[in-house]
Amino acid sequence: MSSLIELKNTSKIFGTGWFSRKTVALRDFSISVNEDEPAITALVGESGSGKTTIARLILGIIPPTTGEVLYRGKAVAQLSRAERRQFRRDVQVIFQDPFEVYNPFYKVDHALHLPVRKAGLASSRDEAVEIIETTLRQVGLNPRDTLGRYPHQLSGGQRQRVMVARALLLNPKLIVADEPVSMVDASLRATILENLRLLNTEFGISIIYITHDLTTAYEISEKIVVLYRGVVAEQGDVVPVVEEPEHPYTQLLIGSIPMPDPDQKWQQGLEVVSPTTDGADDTMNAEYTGCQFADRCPHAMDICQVAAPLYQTAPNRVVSCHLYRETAVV
Amino acid sequence: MSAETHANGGHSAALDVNDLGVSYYTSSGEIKAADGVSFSIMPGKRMGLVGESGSGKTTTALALMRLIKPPGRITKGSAVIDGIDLLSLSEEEMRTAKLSQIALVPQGAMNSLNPVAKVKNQIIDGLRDHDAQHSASQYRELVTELLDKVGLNRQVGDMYPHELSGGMKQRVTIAIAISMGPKVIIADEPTSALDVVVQRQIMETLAELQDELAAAILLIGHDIGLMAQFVDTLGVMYAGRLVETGTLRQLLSEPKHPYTQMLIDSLPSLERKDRKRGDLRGIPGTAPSLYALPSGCPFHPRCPQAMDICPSEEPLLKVVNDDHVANQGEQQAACLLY
Ligand SMILES: Nc1ncnc2c1ncn2[C@@H]1O[C@H](COP(=O)(O)OP(=O)(O)O)[C@@H](O)[C@H]1O
Ligand SMILES: Nc1ncnc2c1ncn2[C@@H]1O[C@H](COP(=O)(O)OP(=O)(O)O)[C@@H](O)[C@H]1O
Ligand SMILES: [Mg+2]
Ligand SMILES: [Mg+2]
Repeated sequence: MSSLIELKNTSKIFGTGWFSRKTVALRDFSISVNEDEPAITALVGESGSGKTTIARLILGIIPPTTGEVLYRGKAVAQLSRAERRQFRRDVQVIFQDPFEVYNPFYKVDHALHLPVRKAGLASSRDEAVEIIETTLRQVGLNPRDTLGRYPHQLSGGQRQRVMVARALLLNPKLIVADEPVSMVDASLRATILENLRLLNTEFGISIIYITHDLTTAYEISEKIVVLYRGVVAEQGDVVPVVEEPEHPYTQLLIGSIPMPDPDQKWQQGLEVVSPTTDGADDTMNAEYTGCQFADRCPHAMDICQVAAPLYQTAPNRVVSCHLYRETAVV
Repeated sequence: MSAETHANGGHSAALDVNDLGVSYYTSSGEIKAADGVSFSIMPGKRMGLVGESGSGKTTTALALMRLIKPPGRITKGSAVIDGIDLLSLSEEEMRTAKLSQIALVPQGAMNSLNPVAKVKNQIIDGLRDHDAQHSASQYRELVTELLDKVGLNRQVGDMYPHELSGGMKQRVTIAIAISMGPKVIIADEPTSALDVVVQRQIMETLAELQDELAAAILLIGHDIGLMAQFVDTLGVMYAGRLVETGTLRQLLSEPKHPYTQMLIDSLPSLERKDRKRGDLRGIPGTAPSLYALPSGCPFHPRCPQAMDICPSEEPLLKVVNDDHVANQGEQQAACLLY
């Protein structure tokens, strides 16, 4: 199996920003994207859990503090000019709000011609237009309704599709979608998720789908990584993880999903953190080495003062929790 | 309905909105962002307002607070609390009514706290606007009390917004809103930016506060799951109109308006037992432009049950529930099927 992108035991520590202390945004994280079996992998976690940091590492925007980021087996920092160009084509990103990507003063054509020109995909303007029109049709847009318009003249759904087309233009192997649906309504959300799935099934592109919403992750992904304060809590095939969560954090997360059923009220008796510290990253400093969830965990034990390794609880499943210390470590 | 409820004094609504209209006048024409919106909330009850973005939810909230700014204007209607129509008060009268009668946790408020002011000063600013002057120590006490009510400890008062998590910031905006003990609290998407665990904690705090104040709540959002956990009654907005209202159970189990039906049908599979994983259902088409609203029923171009008359006749809200069980409350829909 050849891996397209691999993060090997990467950590990211941000130094002295607002606080005069270090923030560990990501701890000892590994993931591998294989070209041969394109899949949708969801990265799920509350805000500040390190999702965007992982995206930026994968895209080569920031270097890891420790560990390695490899593109086709080679450290990203050591790529030759030609390899780097290929890397920039192979790995594309779709952002949260497509509007941000468009300059309101340019027609949407601009956002599409730019990558074509930068990557040298076309030898003439006519050829560029042809490539763009073909790609727009591939994502279900009529070029005549799309080209020549300003961003605000398109609907939210159309803008999202243009974004997808833009990512598709360069014929990538991996698309990182960072919270693409967190700001949209239910009706549009389904369309966007459908597009992501299409990119995967029709075009054989791997997708890293970043979200804080477990329900959409469950909907479209095959694999899931649940992050908590920069650490993997639980990872595996999406159905078992969501339907029978093992990590107490995953259990809390799933128990907090509001069900649209008045007879199924928010699960009672779930222990939750005291509001004065919710989500505040007290333990994200470099000195603390215990389990990140221990201060909120109803099952916390003495040994939780030391972070748990990843225990292999099933063939495709790992969980970082001492409750599973009887099973083998990965 | 409102006339009756007012007549028998004891059971009058906490908030009674009638035929509210708000328009924005832009260079491309008039947008009726709220048109003929009517609903009421009983004291101590919670109503949800759902709809796609652009359907007029925030506009409705801002109108009730008299916060519509040019190019917008309230064009018609009334909003009555305690026998007083908020929409006909003078600016000065409205200033006192705000916070003590009706308070708003604005959409995105947690991200628009003043980044260079300490939390306590932002709370005091709110108090100062609406109350007699207090001494410094009285203010300190009030701030501590308010922070405590929203589940924050007093040290938070000396912190700046960037030192707080999203959930803590949202608690601060709630503290500001409830500082004068309002009878009606409007919360505009208070948890949309937060994850489910924090969301649940915030909603529990809001429920406790409501109990304490015996207030009514109008919760604006688009997450039906959240609504199901929190509200008693629900209103569905589409293109500036209220297209269906009723109790939570009525709308969830027997939605009458085709739009409400599709909204419920688009819920993700994890949240409903009758749906297979990956069976994504959106609502086809896109929300109409308010500049060029479809004639007749504004939903007809997207409606799977549209009839010949739908493009020519505009439906009004009417009672649609089959069983008139007294305590079930009435369900209304604006659809020509009924
Ligand atoms: N450039 C940066 N400087 C300092 N801290 C950062 C920076 N980027 C992210 N962080 C911190 O790293 C943590 C993880 O952030 P991020 O990866 O953006 O999380 P997510 O995308 O899951 O919300 C947070 O505590 C955040 O404040
Ligand atoms: N200040 C404004 N000027 C012009 N149009 C506005 C203004 N504010 C809102 N609108 C328009 O009014 C409609 C309703 O918006 P809003 O009340 O914010 O909807 P919601 O809260 O349901 O998303 C939208 O079409 C929006 O573009
Ligand atoms: Mg992020
Ligand atoms: Mg709004």
